[in-house]
Amino acid sequence: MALWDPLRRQWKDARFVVAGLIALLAALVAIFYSIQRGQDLPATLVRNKVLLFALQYLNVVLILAILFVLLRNAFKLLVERRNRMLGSKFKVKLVLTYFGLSLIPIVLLFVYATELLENTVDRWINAPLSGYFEQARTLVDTLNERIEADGLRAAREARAAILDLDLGDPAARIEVNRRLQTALGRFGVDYFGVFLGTDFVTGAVDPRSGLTDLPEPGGKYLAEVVAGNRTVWRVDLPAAPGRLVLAAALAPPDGTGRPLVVLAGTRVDAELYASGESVLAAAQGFRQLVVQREDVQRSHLLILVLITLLLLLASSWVGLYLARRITVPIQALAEGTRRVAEGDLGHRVDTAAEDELGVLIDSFNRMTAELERNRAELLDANRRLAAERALIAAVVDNVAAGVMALDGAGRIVTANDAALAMLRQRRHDVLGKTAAEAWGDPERSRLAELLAEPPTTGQGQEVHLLVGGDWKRLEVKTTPLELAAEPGGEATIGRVLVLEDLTELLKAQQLAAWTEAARRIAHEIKNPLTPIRLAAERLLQKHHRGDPDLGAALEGGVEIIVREVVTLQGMVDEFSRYARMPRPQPRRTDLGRLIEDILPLYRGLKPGVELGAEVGPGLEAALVDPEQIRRALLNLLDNAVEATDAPGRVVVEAHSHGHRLELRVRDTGRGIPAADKEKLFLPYFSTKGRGSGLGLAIVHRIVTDHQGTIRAEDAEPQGTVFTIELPGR
Amino acid sequence: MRSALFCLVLALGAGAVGDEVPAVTELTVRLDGLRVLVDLEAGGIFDAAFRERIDSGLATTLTYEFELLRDRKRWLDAPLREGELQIIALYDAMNREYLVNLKLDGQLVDSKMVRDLAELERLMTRFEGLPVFTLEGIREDVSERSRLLVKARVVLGTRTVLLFIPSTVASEWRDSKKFHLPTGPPG
Repeated sequence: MALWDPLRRQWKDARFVVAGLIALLAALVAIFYSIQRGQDLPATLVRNKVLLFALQYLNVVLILAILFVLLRNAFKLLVERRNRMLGSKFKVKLVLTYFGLSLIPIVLLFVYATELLENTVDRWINAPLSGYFEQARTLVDTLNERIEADGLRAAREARAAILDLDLGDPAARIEVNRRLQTALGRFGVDYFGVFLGTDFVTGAVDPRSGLTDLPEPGGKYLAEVVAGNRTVWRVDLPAAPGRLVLAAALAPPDGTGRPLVVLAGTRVDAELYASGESVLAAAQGFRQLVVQREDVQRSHLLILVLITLLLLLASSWVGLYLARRITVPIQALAEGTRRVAEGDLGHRVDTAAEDELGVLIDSFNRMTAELERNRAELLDANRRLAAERALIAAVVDNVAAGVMALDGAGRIVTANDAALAMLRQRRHDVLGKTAAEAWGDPERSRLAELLAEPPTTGQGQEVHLLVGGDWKRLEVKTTPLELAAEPGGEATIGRVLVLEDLTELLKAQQLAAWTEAARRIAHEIKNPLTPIRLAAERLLQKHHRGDPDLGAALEGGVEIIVREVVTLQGMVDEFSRYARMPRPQPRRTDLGRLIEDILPLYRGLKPGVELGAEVGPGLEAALVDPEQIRRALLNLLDNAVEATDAPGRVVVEAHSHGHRLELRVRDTGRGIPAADKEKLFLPYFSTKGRGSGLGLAIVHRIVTDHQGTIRAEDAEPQGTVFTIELPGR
Repeated sequence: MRSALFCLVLALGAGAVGDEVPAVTELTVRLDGLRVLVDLEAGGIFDAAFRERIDSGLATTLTYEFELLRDRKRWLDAPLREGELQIIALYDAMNREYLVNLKLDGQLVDSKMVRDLAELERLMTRFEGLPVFTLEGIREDVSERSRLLVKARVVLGTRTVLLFIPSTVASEWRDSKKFHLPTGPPG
């Protein structure tokens, strides 16, 4: 695998492909050159059947291989198309385009080349040329036949001329030679030779022929002549240019048993012989061409088919190659996209690509790397957020205050245990429900009403709830909360509801207040008791001494005792009234008129102190107990007028805020020290040094009985402002 | 293009065009001791195209293939002996004579020069007493009572079908008369 990968990459390298194409072109050129120079190849090589067979089958194998590659490519495309593989359509289109574009010119070229080949062969083998070659061959043949015929005739004549002589006789041989010399001139031949069997007897050479020596006819040929198989042959002339055409005449054996052989030789000039040879070679070559015409055409056609198939293969392969160069990166990108979509952000496309596709792959890889980094950061942030959320949840769950959160639609999404305990509800009673749904019952409806009002950041409201038979006093703070927008949506405003259970605190405060009240009552009671005791002891002492002014002392003492008892009686009455204060009976009341009725009682009471009223709209039908509210306002106005020195101003303000009523008594008096503000509404607490100390306690009692709140604040630039907030609607 | 079509038609219709079909017309077997001598005569070979080919000076080969078989009709039987006679004719235009070489099983056994085409035809198509096989050691393969026969055919060469599929041009096989192994000591 490790060895294969570099090879595959190398295969994909365009330079490797170009080198392959160049090699293929070089091979084609080499084949063409070999064909063109085929005649220069050694005859043994050309006639080598094994080699020719191998070459022929090599062609066949090459063609089959090309066809196989073409069909394989087509089949692969078909399968990819059927399997709907990504890029297969594009591949098919590109290959068909290339194939179609190249098919027409290639087929035209093939047809043209075939026609050209046929015409060329036809031009080679046309009738006039055939006639010329045939005539030339006939001419040479006729010449040769003439030479041979003349030679044969001369040999027969010479044989006849010497047949009567005894060749075994040396004297007769001289005669033989003389007759042969005579025959040389008469028959126009250049040589006569006489043999007995294959043994030389004598010979004669025409001195004009250029032959210097008697030629060697060759024992093999003589044997054939003796055997009756041959009469004519040719021999080279070692000493003279040209060839010698030998013709033999055979006579029956003589007494020795050896036949007489007479040879007549005719010297053919070298140039003439070479010309004849050339003519015959050309004529034979032409005849061979005619005979092999079909083979030649077939072999050339085969080459053309091979080249055509190669071109078609090359065109389809180039189409495939280009398509693959485009589709493979696209497939890799698609696969990468799929992997990334499945969450594998570590996936990288490692397909080699150039141009815009390479840029695309680089961008994809950078994008996935960035996504992976962002996801890691996001996961880290989420982990931290989860830790913080767990911390907050732990804090919220463990704080004494009740905490609830509402989403933008008003549904309760969070409620801690403290809130649920305060409201005596279970988690599933509230989660996912709106305030109206969760607190629709009369006991908790006040909370729903509070949430229906605009939020008041940082300012709590005290509400009384009768939950599970127990009254609870809760301080409720609502804070707007901007919630993150959902994808495709807008940011919404929710609420955070913080509940503080003041019930126990107020009980403790009340206990402390009553302790303080008891102390003060004891103190107040103790004050009149002392003069009573002193008066009683003085009367007793005068009585024991028999003091004469006992009567006057008795009158004075009794007066003191009665006065102090009256004081005690008043104190007890006030306390009794405070204790017996009835539950408020709310009814529709015009607060503006009520204020206007009260103010005249104080006008002119203290010179230099002005009294005023600021009454807003919407107060004509406030749902309050008018007697108790009147009493509360009278107490507040008493204190305000008392505390305000001339010149000063006391103003009563009344306003309506939705379901809430707000009453204010503002003065420009001395103000209240901060240390006294905490005890201001406790019974028997007074800064005036006189009075019962129950005025503000009664006011506070009336307000709280109306489910309202009261607070005392410094007024600007001086003075005090008491603010009463009531449900009132 | 026309030549391609012509070649195609020629290739598809080969064998149905010529008037004379190459064939071994006579096949006689004689035994000379353990030698199997064959007398053979072939016909339908020397048509105009064949003569033209020889006269063009191209080396032209006729191959006679011989098989010695048992006389039984089992297609899977391999021949007992195989022999091959190649006759190569080459025309020398300058001397106007034909050189004929005879090779028996690859060995040159004769070489002749003839000047007459009829003589050449006789040389290439008629043989007498051609020692094709020897029966030495054949009794290891066949029983004494078995009958044998010789098959022969003449191969003219190869041609191509559909431009590039080579095939052999040959006559049908001809069977000789059946004969028994010679009696006597085991060969």
